[in-house]
Amino acid sequence: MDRQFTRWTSVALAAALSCVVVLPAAAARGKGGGRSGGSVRQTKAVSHKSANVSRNANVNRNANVNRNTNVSRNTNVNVNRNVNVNTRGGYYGRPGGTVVKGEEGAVAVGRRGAVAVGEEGAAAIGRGGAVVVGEEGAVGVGRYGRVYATGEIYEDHDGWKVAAGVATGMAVGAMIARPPATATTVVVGSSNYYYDSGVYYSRVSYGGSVQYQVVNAPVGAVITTLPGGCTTYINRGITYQQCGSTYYQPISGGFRVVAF
Amino acid sequence: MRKSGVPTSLVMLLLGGVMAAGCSSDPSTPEEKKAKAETLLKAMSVSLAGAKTLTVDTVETRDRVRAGGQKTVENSTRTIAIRRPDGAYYRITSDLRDTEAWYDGKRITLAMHKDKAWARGPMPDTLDAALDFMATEYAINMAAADLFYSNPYESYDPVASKGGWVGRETIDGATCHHLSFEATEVNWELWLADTPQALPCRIKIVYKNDEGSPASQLTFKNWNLTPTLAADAFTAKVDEGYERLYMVRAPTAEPVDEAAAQQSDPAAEPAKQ
Repeated sequence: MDRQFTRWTSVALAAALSCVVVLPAAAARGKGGGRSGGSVRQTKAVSHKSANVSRNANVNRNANVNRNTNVSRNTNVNVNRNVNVNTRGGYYGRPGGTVVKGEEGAVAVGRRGAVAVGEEGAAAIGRGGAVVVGEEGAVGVGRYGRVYATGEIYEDHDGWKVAAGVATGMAVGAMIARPPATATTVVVGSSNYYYDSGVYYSRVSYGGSVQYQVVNAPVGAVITTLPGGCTTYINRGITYQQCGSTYYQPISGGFRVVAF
Repeated sequence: MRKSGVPTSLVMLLLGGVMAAGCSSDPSTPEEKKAKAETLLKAMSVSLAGAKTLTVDTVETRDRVRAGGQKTVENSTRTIAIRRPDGAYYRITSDLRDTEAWYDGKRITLAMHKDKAWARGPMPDTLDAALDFMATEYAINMAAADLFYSNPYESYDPVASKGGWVGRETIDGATCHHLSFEATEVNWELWLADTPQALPCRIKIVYKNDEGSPASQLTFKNWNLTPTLAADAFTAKVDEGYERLYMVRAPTAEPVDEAAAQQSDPAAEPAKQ
């Protein structure tokens, strides 16, 4: 059980850190989307509140790529010391979550996500949720697995790539004004999502307009074709496909998002 | 040539008097210009704050800076209705959107007609707090918002800003005083009607700290400080079949009980049209 827990912790950490890594600095800074267009007083109010957000971000400036190795090492230590956490029976995605503390940081596991903290970092954990912090900004995961805005809205996926300066997937929380042209609609329960190339978008209201926000892969979503770069993962005799931080179970006619 | 009956000296005297009278009302020093601007702002503030209800239309241009620095302009028109202290409504129409918003003292409801969607979030119970909340919690910005606080003069805070009266300009056929100020976060200009009420003719705000220094400009039309508003003017009306969307909170949002915020309370459902 310890080993399995370690694996899941590592997976959660990798997922969380992948978000941290791909967060474009422009998005993380929270410039633009939340400020311009307002009145004199509104702009001042937003500016003052943004300053508070920035303070949090500074604390977490070490959550970068180079810290992954350190975090992983901490994770192993954490798990060995906190077996009792696992015996509470929690998957990482369970409401209420669990918190594993390490020597120099903490790993907070929220309802549907995780927060990884490096040597000098810290995470602000919300009520039943978690906050993933990038170099200069934050993406907050709400109580119901929803994601707060990063403060930046991009015209489309290409616009985001220009800002990010990379050709990676978009970070959870980022928003674009319109979904990719090749996106398909995925229905999970009563919710509609838009899917393209391994990224799921939810239609949301932000800033008084409709936006498409990148969200974690919704459990139960079914796609017909896997994105590139997936690897095979076997758990309890069942073969899954791991695509980034998302696990898919092959089913008739496609692949279903699952959570462990 | 026969001379006119009016002595030239008398004409010159009258002309001089008129010119002197005109010049005497226009400030010349920075201190006088700022004092005049503050006087005009206070007159405007008294007029607007004294209106229990008001309506106004705006013609707006708003810069949007895309990734990479490219600037585009959104042209829109907006109809606004205010009821102090707890009601607000607007409808903004542009090529990109056709959105109505209702604030009823408890919630804000948005109906985004082009997308056939609607959203709702909790709000403070007073207009002053609600206008702040819209910006900091939902990133819903409205350049005209300063005019709808209970004390518009304080919203502009000219005392803490540099600038003052600039001159007179004609906007849509009306003479308006032009004020210009530099504040920490923005530079703003306001044109106020050359009337005792000093109602705004135009406002321009430059968000100088944002990338690309985008600007918003609004020209006001049809001010009415004593409108008769329908009893349900601030009751949300959403078309049947619209999809309800999650209302994402801004990075500056305070933690709230999201369950309450997003709960679909049947009693609180908007009226269907």
